[in-house]
Amino acid sequence: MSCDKFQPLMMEYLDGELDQEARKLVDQHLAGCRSCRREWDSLKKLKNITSSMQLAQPEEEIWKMYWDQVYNRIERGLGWIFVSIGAIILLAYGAFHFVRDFLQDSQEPLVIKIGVTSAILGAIILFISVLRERLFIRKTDKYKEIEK
Amino acid sequence: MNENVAALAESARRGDIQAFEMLVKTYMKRAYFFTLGLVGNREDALDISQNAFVKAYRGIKTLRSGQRFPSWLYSILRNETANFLKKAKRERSTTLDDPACIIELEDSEAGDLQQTELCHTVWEAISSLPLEMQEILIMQHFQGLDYNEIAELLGIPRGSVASRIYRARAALRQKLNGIL
Repeated sequence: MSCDKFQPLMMEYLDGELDQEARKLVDQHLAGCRSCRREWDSLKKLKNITSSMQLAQPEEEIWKMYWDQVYNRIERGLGWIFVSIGAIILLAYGAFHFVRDFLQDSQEPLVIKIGVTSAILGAIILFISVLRERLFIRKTDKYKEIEK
Repeated sequence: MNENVAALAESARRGDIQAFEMLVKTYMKRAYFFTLGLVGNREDALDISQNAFVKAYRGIKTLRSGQRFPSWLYSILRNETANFLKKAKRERSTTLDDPACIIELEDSEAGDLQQTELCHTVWEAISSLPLEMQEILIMQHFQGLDYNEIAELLGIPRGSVASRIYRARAALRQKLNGIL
């Protein structure tokens, strides 16, 4: 077996995930391969260092408050949904009346009416396009694009 | 997977908020520490992990089966964290906590400065790895998850877990060339 095949096995060995038979195989390979042996020694050292480390525990208070804070966010989110629905209905109603009155006003020049109608049509198309993108186009895995 | 978690997720899917509360309490520590390991800031970790639970609550009806809840929750967490880091990078709006606030020694002996410094160097090297590598190291080293659990949470075969861990450790080893 080539060294490449042993690398994942070495990890399982290091992390205590390998059965005795497979451990023997790895031991035999390490005894005869200097480069894998070197790698094994430094990875073992790394494992020893990380085994002595742990993520710092926050104050116990955080866990006591955790659910309440999540619940408050859920509740507030619901509130915002209703506020948004109300605002959209009112704005749409106001905009409809404003545009209707504006287009029916015979004193307004035709060119302005065409300009306003065109702007409204454009805004509607843009809105539908963004909405469609958000709803139907499958999101890519943004995670892969991140590099620190 | 814990059968209880699947049953709770099924109840939460049917709108039982108390079942969802139990799920939050079961996974809050894992979610917080996973995020902390990736963003390196305690306040942001709390904020992102709580936001992920809010999103999980809103979307739980789309979950196909209660059994998938843990991996589904982790995928939300990963997306939330990725979005946060992308935004933070663009706006330079976050600062990393000092490693001393994030990492501690398990059996900390007073005065063992050399060991503490070594751990902080290792932590900084881990933090500079690509997120996919950091994620698997955090799960294995700092959350104590076994290969089967990691495979389940990441939705990958168990064999791929060992390969990914190898690649991450090999990259880390290169960064710590002078130490190891």
